[in-house]
Amino acid sequence: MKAGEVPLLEVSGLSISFETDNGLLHAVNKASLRVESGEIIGIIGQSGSGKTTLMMGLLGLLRGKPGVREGKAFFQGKPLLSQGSSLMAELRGRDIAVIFQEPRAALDPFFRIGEHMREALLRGGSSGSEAEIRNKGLELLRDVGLVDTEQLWDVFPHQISGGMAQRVMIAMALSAKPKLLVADEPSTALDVTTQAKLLELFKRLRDKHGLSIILISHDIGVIQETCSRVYVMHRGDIVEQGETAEVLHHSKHPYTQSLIQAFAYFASGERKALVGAATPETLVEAKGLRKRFGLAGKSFEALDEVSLFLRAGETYAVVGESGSGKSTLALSMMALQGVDGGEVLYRGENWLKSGKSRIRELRRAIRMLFQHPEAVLNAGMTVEATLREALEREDVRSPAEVQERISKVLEQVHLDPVHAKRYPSNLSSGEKQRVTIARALITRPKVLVCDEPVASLDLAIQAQILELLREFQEKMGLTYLFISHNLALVKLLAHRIGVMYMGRLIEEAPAEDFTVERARHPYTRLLLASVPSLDDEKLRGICAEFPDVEPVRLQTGCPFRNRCPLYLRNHHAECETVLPPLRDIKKGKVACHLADA
Amino acid sequence: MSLLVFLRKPGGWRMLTGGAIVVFLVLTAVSGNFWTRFKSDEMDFEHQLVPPSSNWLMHLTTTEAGRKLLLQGNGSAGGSSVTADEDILGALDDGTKAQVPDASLLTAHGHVLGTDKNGRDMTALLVAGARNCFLPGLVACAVALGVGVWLGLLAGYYDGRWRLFAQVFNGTLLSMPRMVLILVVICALEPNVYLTMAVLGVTLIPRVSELIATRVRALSKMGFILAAKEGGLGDFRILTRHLFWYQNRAVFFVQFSLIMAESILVETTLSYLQFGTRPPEVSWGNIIEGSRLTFFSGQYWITFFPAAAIVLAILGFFYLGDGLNARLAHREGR
Ligand SMILES: Nc1ncnc2c1ncn2[C@@H]1O[C@H](COP(=O)(O)OP(=O)(O)OP(=O)(O)O)[C@@H](O)[C@H]1O
Ligand code: SF4
Ligand SMILES: [Mg+2]
Repeated sequence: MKAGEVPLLEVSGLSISFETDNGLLHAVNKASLRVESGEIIGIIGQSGSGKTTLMMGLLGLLRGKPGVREGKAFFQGKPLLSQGSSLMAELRGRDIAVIFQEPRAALDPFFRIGEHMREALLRGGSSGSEAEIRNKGLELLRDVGLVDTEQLWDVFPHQISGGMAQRVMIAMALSAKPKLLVADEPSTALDVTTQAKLLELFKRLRDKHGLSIILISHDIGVIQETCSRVYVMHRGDIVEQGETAEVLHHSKHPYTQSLIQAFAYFASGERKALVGAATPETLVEAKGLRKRFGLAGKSFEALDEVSLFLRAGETYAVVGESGSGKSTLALSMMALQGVDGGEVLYRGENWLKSGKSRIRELRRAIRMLFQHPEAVLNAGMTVEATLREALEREDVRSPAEVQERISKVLEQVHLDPVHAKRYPSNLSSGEKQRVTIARALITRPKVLVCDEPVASLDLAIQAQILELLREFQEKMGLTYLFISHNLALVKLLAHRIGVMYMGRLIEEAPAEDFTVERARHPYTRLLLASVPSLDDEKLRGICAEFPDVEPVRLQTGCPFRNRCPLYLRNHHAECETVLPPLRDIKKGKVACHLADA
Repeated sequence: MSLLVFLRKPGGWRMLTGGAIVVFLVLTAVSGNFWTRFKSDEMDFEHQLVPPSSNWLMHLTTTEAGRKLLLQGNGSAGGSSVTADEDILGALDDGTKAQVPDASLLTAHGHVLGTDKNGRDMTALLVAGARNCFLPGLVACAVALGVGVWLGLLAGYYDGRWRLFAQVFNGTLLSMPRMVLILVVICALEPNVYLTMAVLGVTLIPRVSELIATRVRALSKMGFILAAKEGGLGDFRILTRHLFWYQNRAVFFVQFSLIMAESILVETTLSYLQFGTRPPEVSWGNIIEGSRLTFFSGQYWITFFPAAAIVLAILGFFYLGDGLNARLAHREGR
């Protein structure tokens, strides 16, 4: 920016409070920020820190009672927040566009994509014949990196994936040629592979159209990769701001430091898995698990001949994108969902076929952690009641002993005894997850199946919970089946990793071999290259090799081939006709015809 | 302090008012005639059909014409007893002595709310009648909630056959008019108030079970049910503990209050029609029934007090239930 030029957006001393049962809640406290034209700035902070409230309050989009709003804001030098000003309403949708976290929720399911585009273009002031509008729309769709736009024009929102829907949203937002785009957690609901492409798109839009973007995120990786400047929010205050690199490398505020520390826990690439934890004994083994689901007449294999085994004391991780069947695998292995074939052996005993009472007995040894701790705890039960219930099937009778077990397990998960009397609604999400861990640990299990145990938590808390799990493995020799969509994370924690795609295991290898160079299956390489923050030209190049198309369930041949660069290069016939079996290779397994042994 | 917080939340005032009324009435019903000056089966032939002993209560519960009747001793019943009080009542008609002090009236016969045509004390009758309002109500609640809650839990938790069964069962019951059903049972069997209330309970099963089933159906899909199974809990425990006690007990209490209110209404109606509690057992409904003649001659205290008691009881239970419901809705963020 040249000196003296007016910034695109300038906010000073903006405060927003809500009236609640317990008095005034200060959601945003005297926030000030500035956006120049043609730059991407980031707002980072954990959930509940007021990021969304700040932007929505500024744009006049807060839901419900508006509460109290004070402060000044200028858009290109014109005041935004003054009393009775209709400027905001004018600007919104024209000069300022907003996209939200859940793209599909913002698209009307009864209108085709083309109709959405047309509507947006007309609202944005475009005029011309039907054909001209259509051409403009198609060009916008191409601009945001969508292919087959002619076809896309005529489909309904539910027929496209989350990533595509997000792009359509962006295309609609761009139709009025805005100067500022506010993106609230745009990639949080997306898979890593899709997220990587979306961030690329943001940078391209900035360079090509000179668009300014405010990117709200809780993910330092995302911010680091795209933003030139960053604002850190904590409990409604902007606690730190500046050049991204400056803030991230020389942070002054303790909160920023804790965020960065937590991020470094994952980003350093330093392995956290216990060395030598695994023993040769096979504790749990899944053999040929199959599960079919019928959806609207069509049925598909959510699990297709999945076999894996866990050695006592090790961590086996399963990764895959949304819908690949990870949760289905976990529930099947826990005998919480019927399977259509296969068996799950615990110490050689098929527990899916055991009697009811035997299954209940085994449930003490094999426990599970769920993705959303909120949903797992009964809102009407105190922590103590939950733990007491978990002890019911144990042979502890005397109240004193029960009490002792409860206080011991609370100590193990580092929860204060005062939490015992609390209800879930009075616990933070990290504390809730600790309670669910306590609930599992109290029966002294041998195996813990963890379905995305940290996915819903803030980064700092993720690190704490993972440390906790590691501590238990060290002290109690626990065996983990660790399910996650986050490959970077499981690489740090796991001893062995299995990759799932469309209900099938397509690669299995020791965690050390999960690098772009050594991974055998093209999909695994794509996953590895998509991890954000590894800001590396080589990885970007690898990502670019893969076509930007949606996963589909192909009936014959290799289910991955529509996204597979190896296949697209020379159309290997076998890929079209033969489902690649999971075959043994040196130090692992892979299901790809062209992977060398 | 904590009371203030309680009252400020939605439904607080309603719960407090309703709760106070209900507690008062329950204590009354439980204690019975233990504390009253007269007993309900005690007939004071000296004072048949005397009006309430305080001036303003008498004015409230009689008309001008009624008072004249009492005075002339032409009342349809208990004429002789009125003469005993003639000098006192005479004061009413005499313009010059119209301001006779109330104290003399009060001490005159000691029946604060007056007596009925048999000389039974109204206070004692009302207190005795309370019990016969609550007990039948409890029977209706026991049937409606006992069956309804289970049916709801099962139909909501196990979709399939239980759901079908509940649909057919509830559909059949809903298609029968309630009062007709009750009258048919009374005619076919003996006119027993408890049996009648049981039938009333049956007619309320659909409402309770559908309410519970809808909630349970939504709750069953939630993570904590899966987690409970994962913890090795059997279906019985999941149903009774997680789905009923921790998630639906408030609904239970709301329904309890509302059904009590409803059944008091039905019981008094039936007793009035002489299908419910029969004399010599006392209930508010049959006190009113026994007061028809005096009501139409303008001396309606015998009607007034039980009617007020009925209104109070129904309002009490209704407020309690409604307040609970509002609180529940608030807590669930509806
Ligand atoms: N009860 C069900 N009925 C029908 N289809 C189901 C059911 N549960 C899962 N599916 C489907 O099975 C597939 C695998 O789902 P699953 O939940 O196992 O995926 P996931 O890998 O855990 O995804 P995510 O990362 O989003 O949790 C998906 O296509 C899903 O829609
Ligand atoms: S089998 Fe063929 S299509 Fe499938 S991943 Fe390997 S090369 Fe690609
Ligand atoms: Mg899942």
